[in-house]
Amino acid sequence: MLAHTADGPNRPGRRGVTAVFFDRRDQQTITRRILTRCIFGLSMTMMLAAIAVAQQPESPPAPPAASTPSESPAPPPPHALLPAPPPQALPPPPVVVPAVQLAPAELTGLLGHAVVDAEGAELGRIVDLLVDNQGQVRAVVVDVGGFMGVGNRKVAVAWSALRFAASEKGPVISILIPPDRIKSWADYIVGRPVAILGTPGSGP
Amino acid sequence: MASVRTLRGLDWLFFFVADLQTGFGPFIAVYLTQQRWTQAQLGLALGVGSASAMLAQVPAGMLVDALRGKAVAAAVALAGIGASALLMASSPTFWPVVLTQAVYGFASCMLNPALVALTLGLVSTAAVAERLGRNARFAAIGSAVGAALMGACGTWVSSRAVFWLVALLCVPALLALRSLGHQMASPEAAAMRPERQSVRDVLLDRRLLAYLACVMLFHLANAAMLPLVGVEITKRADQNANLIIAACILVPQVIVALLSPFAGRAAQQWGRRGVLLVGFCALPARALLLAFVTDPLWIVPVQALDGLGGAAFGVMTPLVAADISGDGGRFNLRMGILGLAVGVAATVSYTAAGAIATNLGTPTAFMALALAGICAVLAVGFTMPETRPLLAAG
Repeated sequence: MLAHTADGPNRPGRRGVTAVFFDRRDQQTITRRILTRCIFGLSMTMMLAAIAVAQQPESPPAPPAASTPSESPAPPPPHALLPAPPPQALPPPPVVVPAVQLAPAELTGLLGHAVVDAEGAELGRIVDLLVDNQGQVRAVVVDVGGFMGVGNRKVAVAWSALRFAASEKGPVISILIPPDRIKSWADYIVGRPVAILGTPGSGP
Repeated sequence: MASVRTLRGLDWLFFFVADLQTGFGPFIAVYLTQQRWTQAQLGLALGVGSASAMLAQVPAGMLVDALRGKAVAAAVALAGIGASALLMASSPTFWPVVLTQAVYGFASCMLNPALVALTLGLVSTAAVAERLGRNARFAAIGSAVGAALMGACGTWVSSRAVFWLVALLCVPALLALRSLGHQMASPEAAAMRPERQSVRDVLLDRRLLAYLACVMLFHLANAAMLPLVGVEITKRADQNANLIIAACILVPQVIVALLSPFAGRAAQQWGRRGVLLVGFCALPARALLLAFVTDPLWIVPVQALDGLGGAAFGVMTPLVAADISGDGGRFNLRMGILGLAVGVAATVSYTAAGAIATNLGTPTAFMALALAGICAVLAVGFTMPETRPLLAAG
């Protein structure tokens, strides 16, 4: 009887020591190559990204407001002596929308803007504005406290309690209420009655 | 077996990976708020992140199982995380950030099982428990250093710089991974077995289901505690609130770093169930104490109990998964299933505890969490089988 299955690497189901050894070296080389390429690729990407960001301005400039007021239609020529047109309803006059353009230093967005206390230490950031049904801004929602995002709370502070001052880096928004009062005030939760801190009558 | 130099490389690998993962936590909300995101956009982007981190667990586990080169899988995942951090730092607009969150979720779901699988390939079965304990130690040190480093970076440089730092930290992690490539996996390593159980057999394994229940109850109790504690401290402390919260994050990590190797050794000597019981008992104790302790300075020692539970969970999860996989492979799939269970339980925990705290007060929420913790201890006591493999000659 011939021995069809011989010992060695070719026997199905059994891998000799030599085959494992070669596989191990190939595997190591392949692994090392792939890892080296990953490191190289990541370093290149970092350099490119750094260059890209260095060339961009820090925040994209806001698009300018509509620059020209829209024009009302030209008046009809004064010398028209044609027979009067048949009486018909005139089309309604087009709506004239006023618009204005301001320099970027004169305006600032509120969302994400830092809020400081009376001494200038950062309290938190404005995350929302609360407006009543008549269009009056009643309060801002400020995100206060926390470390690395743990322990942050949202508190509603009255619009009238904010003070705006100009500085070379843009408006500085400060709240004169003591930080302890703000940090221990009730949470702002959407859908529940809002307790606004800072209106007359919110207590000492 | 694996040389000392290789094992040192493994230590550094776990350190750097845990280090860079701290940047992607709740800090993202702080960063994006500064970039003038609205709350609605923020909720959407973070929701994509949470969903991705949960949904990717099982597919990523199956992918890592299918790949023969676990080091390659880990390298690709690390490169993905680095690329996400770069994208986050350079374009904090909506769609890039959503993409970042999706990619990061999948990459971290690939990375964590792959690293444990690499570990299993480098040490013998008897030494696995202590090695996993050592991994958990270096991961805890990495988290603590990461939190401190990134907190300092965010405060004194800028929030954007934190993500540059995360991308930078991927490079030493990849270098540490590269230094492992010299050692081939030991032939008897469970994670490297080519034989596969079917997915159905994996899911119907009673030991996995029992551990799944324990883990879900543990996280149901544990996950919401730190956020609730953070809010309480912010309400009560004044100038030092940030420092106290930082201490509440760092002290448990220090305890985990100290106790994890001991937990691994104890699991090998006295069995897995004993370590799980001791660690899980710390959880309801902590919840009950937090319900009644109001002084922020006293909260820090109570938070130290988190370290006990964290050490037990962190070491036992890969260990039990390795024990159960011993016969038929599919280690990474089991890690993925456990990861998914943890994610689901954590989400339920945040939502339920938040709702209870809003409607019934924070002490009631802590009591509810204590109840869940007691259920976790009972689950370990009554349903969890001992999974330590019987060693042939001691």
